[in-house]
Amino acid sequence: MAGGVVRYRTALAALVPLAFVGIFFAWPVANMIGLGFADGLGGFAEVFARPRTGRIIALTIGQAALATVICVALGLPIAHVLYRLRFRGQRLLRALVIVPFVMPTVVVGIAFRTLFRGTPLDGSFLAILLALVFFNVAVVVRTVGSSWEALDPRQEEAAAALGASPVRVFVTVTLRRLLPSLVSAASVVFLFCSTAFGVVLVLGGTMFGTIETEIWLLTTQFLDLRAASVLSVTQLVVVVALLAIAARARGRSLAQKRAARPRPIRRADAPAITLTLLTAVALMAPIATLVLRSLQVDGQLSLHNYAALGTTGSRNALVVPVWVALGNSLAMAAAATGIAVAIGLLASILLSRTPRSAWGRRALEVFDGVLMLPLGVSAVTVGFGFLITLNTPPFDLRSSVVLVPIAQALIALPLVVRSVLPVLRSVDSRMRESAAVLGASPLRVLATVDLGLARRPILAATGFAFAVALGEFGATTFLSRASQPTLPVVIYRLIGVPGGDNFGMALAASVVLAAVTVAVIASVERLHSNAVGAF
Amino acid sequence: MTLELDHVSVRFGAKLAVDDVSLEVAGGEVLCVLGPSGSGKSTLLRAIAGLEISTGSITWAGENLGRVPVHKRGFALMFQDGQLFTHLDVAGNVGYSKMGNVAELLELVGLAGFEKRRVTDLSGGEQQRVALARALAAQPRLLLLDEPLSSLDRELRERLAVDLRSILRETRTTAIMVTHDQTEAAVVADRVAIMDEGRMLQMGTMAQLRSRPTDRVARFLGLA
Repeated sequence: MAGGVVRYRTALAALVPLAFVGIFFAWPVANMIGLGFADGLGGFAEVFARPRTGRIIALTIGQAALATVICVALGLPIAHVLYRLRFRGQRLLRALVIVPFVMPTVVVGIAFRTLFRGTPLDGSFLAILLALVFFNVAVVVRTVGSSWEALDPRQEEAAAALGASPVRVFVTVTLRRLLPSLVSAASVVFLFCSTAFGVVLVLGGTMFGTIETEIWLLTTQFLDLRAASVLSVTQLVVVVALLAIAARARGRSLAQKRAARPRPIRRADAPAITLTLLTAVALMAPIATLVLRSLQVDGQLSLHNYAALGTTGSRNALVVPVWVALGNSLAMAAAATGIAVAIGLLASILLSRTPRSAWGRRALEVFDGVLMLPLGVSAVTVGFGFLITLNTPPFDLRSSVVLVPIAQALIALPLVVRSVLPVLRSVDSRMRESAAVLGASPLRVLATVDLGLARRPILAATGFAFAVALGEFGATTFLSRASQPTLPVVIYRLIGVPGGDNFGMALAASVVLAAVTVAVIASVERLHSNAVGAF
Repeated sequence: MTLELDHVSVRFGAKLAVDDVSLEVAGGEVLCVLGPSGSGKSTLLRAIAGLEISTGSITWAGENLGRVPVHKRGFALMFQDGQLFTHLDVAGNVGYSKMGNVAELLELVGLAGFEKRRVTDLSGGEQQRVALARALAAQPRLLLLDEPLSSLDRELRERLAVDLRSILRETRTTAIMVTHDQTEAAVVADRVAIMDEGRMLQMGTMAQLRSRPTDRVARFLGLA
């Protein structure tokens, strides 16, 4: 009898995350897909016949592939330096390499424009490429680094003792064993690069674009919803295929028995350490330039740009002052974080259980996959899907402010699940059983054992979700109302209306947004959690 | 062809894991280093292989190995848990050093025809046999064995010790084996060195050690 009650409750608990993802993700995305198939495959034939479509797809894939190769080439030696060696200042260096990953996309776009202003690089393909690498090198470093950290060094020692040179040991043993995490990291980087929106929009204008910016352009500028939908479907197919590859690579990862202890540096490490230092400096350059320029007006040191944040900009670029937009951003991000953490926790608790029946385990696997989808589907597609779906009762939410936090929560949800679930899964079931034997009710077991052990990762995930929601641009730009814009939307608006104080204000506003984000992430990192950037 | 250790020490922070050890191993000889866990015997083996930084001198046939990296020493090392490459099959493991005849070596260790088997599908005893074949394939000047039989159950351990002895004889391999099991040492070794708390206590044939042990050695061998 008790089993029946538990099952009933479990099913009920599963309903909440499923309903959320169903209504606010699956339904809008399905609707959008339907639009593309409105007249069979005719829409596809027509859109693919346009020369611009081919060019954009080639550009998206080429750009993402190039950025991925560079990220892997840079990330591998850096992961070695930051995770296998031990030296003074390592923690700071790790932080410097990870920080770019959490920077809001619009801020990075503005920072790169500031850095390259007046040079031929401004608005170039190379600038976009560098910005993509800037964001994603952290993904490779974190993902490969944490798996490198866990590699048993005796395998390498055995190979060396058999007479293999260091290069041969690296290629045949180390690299081979890092391959699953490397593939996983590379596919995630490719995913992020090929769906990059904010940074490409700010840096590339209409000259260079991705499928993502093209969808935005087709929807908001040309009102060609069918073509936008065709591109969304194309992107969806590519993304799902990639996620499947990444999941398979993760599944094949080789089991490790014991972790290595980091070793002190040797002379042979000099090239890798130099590369790491140079990369850290290069990663800081755009941010440093952004901060310095925000403090200048006509070459003079001044706080004028910051003072102007209380205004609506030159030529009335904005509807509300920038500080009000910051308030909106904080409020909406807080709401989004609340939703994402509540639903993510519920989902993680369910996913951490091992059902007795094969059917139950299969159902959980599918549930797990569904929850990860928002990570892969572009934010623009989500925002666009909301617009065409949530416009009829009972979900006529188009004019409602709740849409923005909901969309942001959807994007943060997979990140919450990914950082909390592994910890819950690692809880020894005997610990739960001892608590139960001591007289704790199932709810008390959950609260004192599971959530007790996962307290730090949950806090870290909360901070990470907040930072992601705060900087979210792709979906928010579709959904935010003119009278209640968020800070990233306001920054984009400011650079869209040139002249007067506007660019200076955009710089100052970017610095403010970056500072808030870094403050949030820094407090998360103090929890010593690997929540940020590892896949 | 003699291995000579002269006042070798290995320090981990404040702790001396190997404390001023000197010994000699002649060509074709099998020396067992016997000691309780934590006595520093594995660390000594790793220092000889070049995997730990040590003070004092380690020489082979008069050549100082201080600046010779691990892969150029020509000393193969076999770990307690084999450390087989799980991404390679049996032939891939044995042939890793690109020397020796894989089929012959597998026959030598009693695993003829195992070439295409996955190493993860083998039993513990079979895995250790593959690890031994892999180490012998490198045609090492000196074979270092770190508790090669400790992960196996008693009966299998005794049988494999005898096999190990005859294989080392047959291939005339110079070897140092580390173990905490004196029966095993008695079967495999020409000479035994007793080690505790990083120091070498006594060295000689098993018979010599048993007839004239020092106090601490007697306690360790269960004679006192």
